[in-house]
Amino acid sequence: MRLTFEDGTLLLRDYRKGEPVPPAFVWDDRVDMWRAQALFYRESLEFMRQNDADLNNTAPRYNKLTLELKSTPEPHPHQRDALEAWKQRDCRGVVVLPTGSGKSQVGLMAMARVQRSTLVVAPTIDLMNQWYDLLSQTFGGEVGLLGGGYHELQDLTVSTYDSAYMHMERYGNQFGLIIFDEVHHLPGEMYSHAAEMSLAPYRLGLSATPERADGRHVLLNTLVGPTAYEKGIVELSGDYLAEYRVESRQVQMVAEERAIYETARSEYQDFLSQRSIKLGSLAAWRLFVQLSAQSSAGRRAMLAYQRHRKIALGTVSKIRVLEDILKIHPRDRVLIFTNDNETVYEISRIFLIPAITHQTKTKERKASLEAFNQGTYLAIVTSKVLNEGVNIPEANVAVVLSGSGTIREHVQRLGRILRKREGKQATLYEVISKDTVEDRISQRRRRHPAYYAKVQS
Amino acid sequence: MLTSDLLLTRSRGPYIEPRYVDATDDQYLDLAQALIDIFQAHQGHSRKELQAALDQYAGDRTDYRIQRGLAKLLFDDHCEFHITSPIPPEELRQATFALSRENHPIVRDTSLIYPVQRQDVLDQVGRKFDLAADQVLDGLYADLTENHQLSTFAVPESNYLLNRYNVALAQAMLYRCDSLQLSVHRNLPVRYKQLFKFIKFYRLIHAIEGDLDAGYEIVLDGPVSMFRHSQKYGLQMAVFLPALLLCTRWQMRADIKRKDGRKQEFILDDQSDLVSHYRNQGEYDSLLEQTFAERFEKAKTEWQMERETEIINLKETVMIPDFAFRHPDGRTALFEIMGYWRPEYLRRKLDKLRRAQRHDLIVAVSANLNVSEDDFKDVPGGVFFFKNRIQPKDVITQLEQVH
Repeated sequence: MRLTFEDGTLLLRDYRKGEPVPPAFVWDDRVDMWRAQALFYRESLEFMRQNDADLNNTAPRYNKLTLELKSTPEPHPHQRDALEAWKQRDCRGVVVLPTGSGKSQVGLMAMARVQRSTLVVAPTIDLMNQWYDLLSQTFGGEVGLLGGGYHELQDLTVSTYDSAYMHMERYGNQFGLIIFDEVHHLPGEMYSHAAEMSLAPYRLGLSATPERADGRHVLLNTLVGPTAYEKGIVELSGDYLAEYRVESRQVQMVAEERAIYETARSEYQDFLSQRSIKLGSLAAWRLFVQLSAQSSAGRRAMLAYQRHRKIALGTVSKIRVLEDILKIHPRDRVLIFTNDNETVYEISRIFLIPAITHQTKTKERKASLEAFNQGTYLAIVTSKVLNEGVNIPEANVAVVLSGSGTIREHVQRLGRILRKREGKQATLYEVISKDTVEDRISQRRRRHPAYYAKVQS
Repeated sequence: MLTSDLLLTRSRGPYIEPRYVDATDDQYLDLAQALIDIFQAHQGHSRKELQAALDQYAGDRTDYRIQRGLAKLLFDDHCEFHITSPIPPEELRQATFALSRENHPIVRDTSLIYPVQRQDVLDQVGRKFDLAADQVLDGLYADLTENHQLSTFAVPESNYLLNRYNVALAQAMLYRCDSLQLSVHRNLPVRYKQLFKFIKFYRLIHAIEGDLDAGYEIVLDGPVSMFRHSQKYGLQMAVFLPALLLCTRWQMRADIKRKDGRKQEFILDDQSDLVSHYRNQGEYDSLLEQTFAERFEKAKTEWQMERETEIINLKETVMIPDFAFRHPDGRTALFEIMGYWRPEYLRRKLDKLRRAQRHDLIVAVSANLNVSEDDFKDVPGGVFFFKNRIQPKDVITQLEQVH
């Protein structure tokens, strides 16, 4: 019989009755053949070997490579330990390390260890670009890209999760090793297909925060392998991460804003209390959304809700505080984070500093980040795109002007300024509108040991 | 196509369907027209201004999601946007940020320590490019999508827009579909071929049961569907839908998974008012077929020619013969024409004929093709060669030999 890879699955062609069938295979009535998810390639092959099957294996199409780690720094002990632990688990599993502690380096070491065609999957175009640079610098030669307008496969290829999910049914047999960066994205309903439709026998997941609110991180055991190694942010602070402190700045909305805020707030609250709805649960929120589509009064209440939130997060007082912070740090490298792109561009126009959003083209983004690292620019304003893993070692001040309530986003923003450098002291400012909905948002996102150990007001 | 958040649905017990709009109702025709007018009036304006006008029109109306859906279709299919700026925005940015870096940080009020104001920077950049300070500020981000200008708007009829919207709703429903069941009954071979061409093109997998008289039950899903219910193929099914709408006799039942995990069924059939925007192929595959059909109609024989034909399931693929014949005494037969084929199609067709193993399938082969009788020795049904046109009497001779 012949083992083939087709559309993200494995098929047994020319199968004769009585030949051994691995447990992952199921009879597919639609095509009259045995079929399995590509994910189970490695264990199916082992089963075939144990049962001395007469097998013509045409499924894998990846290559053996000779990758050499050139010009990379001597690995830190935690990086060496992480790789060792992963090797012990047959080169499958997740490595959990804080942002800024050199997770990508572990990825490079894994590639040099496995020596097979490798696909790196990253959540954003920025990170895809960054891995692209890293792989070309480290190993030389052509590196392929899948996503962000590129569709080009090489022995070493970098992809976004979106593209990996879309195209794995075609390319799932082209790689022996898959590295899932920020692997907490993988267990989603759709993205998990990217792991299932690949036959890669070697898999590595990297993350600072693998847990998901929906609990689906348990799926990583099957999709990538169990957690092989884990070290936390507090354990590595000082030794491998820069020293840091967190400062909270509370601002008062100006009088006109406060007036609009209160009017908007009572408008939606009146609407809700008349219907005995208390916001705070998902069910109550859904009901509010439902009601807002049923009557003009509901629609007005929803618009008022959005208005009051927007004012709290975007008060002009925050701009004043930002100016003060910039004056305190005239020679530091400052990253400014906001919740939405509109504010990013507003701040860019007010302070005449470069902005980076998902709309910024790859070339310009790269140039801006380089200029920032070299000191040609001293400040960059951004929304969500620099939340994860982008390499800006020189950044030492972060200003969170507004954000969501998620812990992950906040930890990642902090991580942007923690890359270790001699004598570096990092500061994270959090600017909050006093006595508004933002108090609650801030409390929610700070439920992480990296914060309550360090906050000063 | 619509995004999932613009899909409006209505549930009735185990069933779910989109909230279609009545494309002949004045209320909706007026709404569509109003939106079309807003788009038309904003030619030469920015996307942001257009969006603001749309938001203002929506106001506190509760049908804002219908409006957004209609606007999405207008944005996607009828608009062209352009960047308008005297100086490339990237150049303006570079000059501005470089100058502001020299005076970092830029402050509101000047002082001994911060003698340079924002206005000074903008003025100086303006002088370099021969622009006013305001123009510098406007041009700084002229390349952002929201600042793009609507240069061309292809004005649709309001009725056309509503029809497109209804189809788009049904398509958006299928994003959440993990399995699609089709019942098709006595369609023209070209319609079946069209249908299976799309099934194959969108990499869907089919299971088929049934026959010519009872009709066919086709289940559509994807390769991994047998391992887990997956909406991965939902998008493929959505783009496939307009092809189904071209069939004449059909019913579709789609398993829809709701966000809360509940399963519901979305049913659609040939009685629906949905209008496909895909182009229909003619009634025949080729002139050869058409000429033969016209000639056979005039031939003196008791055999009745039927255009509705059988689907022969070959598992990984199907074969759809061009014609079916029926005799008053109950005999039936199928007929396939091999006219002008490229070599690889020819090979595949031969393979299909062998695998079909049908004794009641007659094949007419063009003498111009690079095949001989030898190639057909494993094909059980009658085979004959023709020069330029197919003679009905040759077919009748073969028909009499079936059984």
